[in-house]
Amino acid sequence: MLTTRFLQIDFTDIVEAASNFVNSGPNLGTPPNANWSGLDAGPWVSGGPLFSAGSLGFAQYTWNANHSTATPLIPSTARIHRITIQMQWNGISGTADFDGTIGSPLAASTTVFGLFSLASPNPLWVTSSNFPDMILDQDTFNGPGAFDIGSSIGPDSRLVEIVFDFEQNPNGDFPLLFMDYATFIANFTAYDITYGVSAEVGTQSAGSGTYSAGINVNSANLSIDVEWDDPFSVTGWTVTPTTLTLPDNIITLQREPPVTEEDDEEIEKVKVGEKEIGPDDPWVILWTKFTITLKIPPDEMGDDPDIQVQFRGTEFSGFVPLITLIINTADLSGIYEFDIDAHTDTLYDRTDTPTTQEVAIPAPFFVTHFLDNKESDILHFTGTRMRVTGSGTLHQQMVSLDYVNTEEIGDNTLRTTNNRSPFTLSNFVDQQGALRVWTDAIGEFMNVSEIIVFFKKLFTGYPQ
Amino acid sequence: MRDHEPGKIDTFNGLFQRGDPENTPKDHFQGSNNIRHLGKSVMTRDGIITSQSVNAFTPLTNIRRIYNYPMLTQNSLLVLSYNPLTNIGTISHVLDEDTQYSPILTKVGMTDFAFVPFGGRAYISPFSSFANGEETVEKGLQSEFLYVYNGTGSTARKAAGASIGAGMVVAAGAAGHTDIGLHIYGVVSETASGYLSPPGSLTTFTNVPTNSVSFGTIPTSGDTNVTKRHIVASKKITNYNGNAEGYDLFFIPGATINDNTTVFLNNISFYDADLLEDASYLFDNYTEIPAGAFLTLYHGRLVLGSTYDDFNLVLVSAQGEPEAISQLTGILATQPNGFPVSNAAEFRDVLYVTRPNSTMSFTDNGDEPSTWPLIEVDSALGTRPHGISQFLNSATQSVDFLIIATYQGISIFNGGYQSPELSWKIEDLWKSYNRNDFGKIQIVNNTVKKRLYIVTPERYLLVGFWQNGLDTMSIQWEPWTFVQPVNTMAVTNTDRDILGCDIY
Repeated sequence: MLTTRFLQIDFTDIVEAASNFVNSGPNLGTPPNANWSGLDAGPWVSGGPLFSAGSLGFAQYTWNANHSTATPLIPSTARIHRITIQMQWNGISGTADFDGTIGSPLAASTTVFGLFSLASPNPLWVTSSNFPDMILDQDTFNGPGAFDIGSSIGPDSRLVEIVFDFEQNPNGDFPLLFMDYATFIANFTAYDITYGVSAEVGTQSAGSGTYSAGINVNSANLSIDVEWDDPFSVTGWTVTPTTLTLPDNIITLQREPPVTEEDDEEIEKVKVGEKEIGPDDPWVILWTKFTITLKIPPDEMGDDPDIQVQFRGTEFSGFVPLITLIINTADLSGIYEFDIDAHTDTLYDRTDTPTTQEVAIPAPFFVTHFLDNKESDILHFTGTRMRVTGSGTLHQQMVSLDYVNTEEIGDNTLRTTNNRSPFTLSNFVDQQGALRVWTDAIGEFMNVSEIIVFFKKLFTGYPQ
Repeated sequence: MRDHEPGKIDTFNGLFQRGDPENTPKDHFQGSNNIRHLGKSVMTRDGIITSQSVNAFTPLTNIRRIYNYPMLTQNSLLVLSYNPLTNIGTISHVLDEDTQYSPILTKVGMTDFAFVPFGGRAYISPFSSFANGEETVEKGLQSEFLYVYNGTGSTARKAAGASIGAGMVVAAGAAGHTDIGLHIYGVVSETASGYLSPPGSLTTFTNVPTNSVSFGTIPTSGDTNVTKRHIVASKKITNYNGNAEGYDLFFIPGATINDNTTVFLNNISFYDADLLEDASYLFDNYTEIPAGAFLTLYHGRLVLGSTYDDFNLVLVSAQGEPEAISQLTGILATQPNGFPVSNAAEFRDVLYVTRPNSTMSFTDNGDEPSTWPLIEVDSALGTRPHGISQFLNSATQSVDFLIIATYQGISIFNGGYQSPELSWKIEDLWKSYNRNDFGKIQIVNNTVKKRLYIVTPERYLLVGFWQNGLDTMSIQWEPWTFVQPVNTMAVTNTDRDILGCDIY
């Protein structure tokens, strides 16, 4: 499904440019040659314009689009399908005067005023535009002999529309029928629109004359519509918090579960700075289909790291950026030693007069091997029983291979002495299941001696 | 439980990361963090506490390297702090939580240092990592040297030293005895650390056989660490060629001044036959020893390697004289292979020298180090500067083998690298580390706790619990992470584990 974004560009830029055009009031001056022999000595070039875009006497305005509002809206994995530029010209007025003597014989000639060309982005990519309709005024004359064509161009308004439809593969540069994000940024940063006056003359003998014009252009409401889609949209994923102040080093990636089964964006890996993190890595506290809680590896804390994710899929591989995490570092460096009786980490606090602060031991956890039966049937895991002592709350989670399927099961309140091995109910179904066990609050600790996971065969296989 | 069968797990043998997680054996974890093993149980790891008092002074920051420094009277720590903003490394001497001497050595660019204790003193060599093509190598700092620190808090001084200046005058003394004829006399200074300088202030004198010799205007040394000066002499010279350094010189028995201030020594009698203790070799010694990337001891000799100007260079001192390194005979001839020598350790009377990708051995044959035969032990495996297990007293063996961190894994070395390696069970994890960061790896063994600590390239710890045995299958591996990055570890006072952490 294509997504349309309307980027409202500040039109003051274009109006200012138009004013400059007017203020410079370019006198289009004399033709390139004193004789009306066109660009070359001798007969006029048949059909050749006396003036053309960019030649002497023409104003050329280059407008640089400000994409600072655009880029956050369009992800780097976007596929651009269509771009439509619209400019509403409100009032074009002025004069064009063409005086001279034309030799003979002379075919009809035309004075044209209007918008001529798009120099960039690549005009060959334009699939439709109303440039030909931008002949705002024209006049004809026939020679030989003296002529005087004066034209007063009254107020006019036009809606200029330029369309780049990449689904039509313009100029053969878009075989995939879309433009990628990098090409979009490289080519649509600046728009070079040239407008002015052109005289198109026929052949024949030499002549001479002057040509002058001045126009007044007002425009408003320049808009650019970019239609794009993204096979792996990160829309909906949030990262909290977006700013960390050490020693707090935990972030959570989360999104709402999908509305339809088709929307199945599962994160396969998270990349923090340069470090790729998977579900079983030491930095992970919780990993489910739509919630991932992890610690920032200390090696990535030096510069504000980019948080990127890799989705489970086949069309697109690579990491997609989410945010740049802001980290307010703190000096936790120093000499430490282990204390077997300590259930927290005591760190230096150098924010003011040096003191100490206690933090939780970073999410201790373990994940057992995968339990299955000999035939790898689909099993039902009904619960766990554990010989465990400690303090705090023990969290448990059943996970499948590659964490495709997960179930958080009930918490256990830990006791330092305990004559019971508590049973925790689960309702997990998969071919193989492993148990993930962890604590995550300050002062908590666990001591596990035995785990029993209860399971039985449910089905022999998945539907074919 | 309603015809559900029980899948019982009552043995926990640590992390297993080899191939697909489905391969994880029943008694292992496919993922874990901050877990320790005791008996058959697993539990939350030890917490950490601050090691320096916040009340006594501002604790040290930006810790890059810590060594246990056994002094004559106690164990202590040598600690390197490195400030990346100023590019200055500072070594401090920490005695306890309330007492430290800082700084004892400050050097620009010192991001790491090598250390070896000898006779209660600390020998220190500043080094850093340098780009060498696509590789990162460790070498001594450019234009820097080996330093010696006496443990009292005074600044570490440059090891070795220059010869004493000229000016000694020799004359006939009171009635006594010497062998008639032309002799060369000189002065050798001795520092507090026992270093003997090359003979200086050389002068000639024709002995009078019925008289002793007296020495005047004996120069004092500008090195305030000089505590003694010895007079040396040649035997009688028949045809003197004018080159005073070209003759064998010997220590004159009894001709020692036990200070650095007295300028005369009178009435020394001796015969040429009494001149037994050679001093000529002192001419060949380094007067300042270039800094290297590693230090170790072998047969009472100091071994230093990988200097800035020649990273194939391995220097070996005289036995019992760590600062006496001959520029001629104190060099081990290693075969260059494009990589620097990076570490060395003594094991079963053999000196093993490594590069990141190879290992060679030298055996003391009783002669000068330059004559020791080289044997290539392994042409694929080696280690970086801190990749050999250390002990409380910096010895290099605890249970009859070395433990070495190679690119292949953590290996037991008993003259050869044993396969499978100790880290076989976590091979995927080990192979995921960036090889260019292997210089950050440090191995420390706590024998009492039966734990092997490895500071990983990603600056957290890998802990190997070997309570069930130090072999591939029995060792239990666990990653231990912290909020802050860990750069270094040391074990002091038998079993006290010390961590050095950085800001980021």
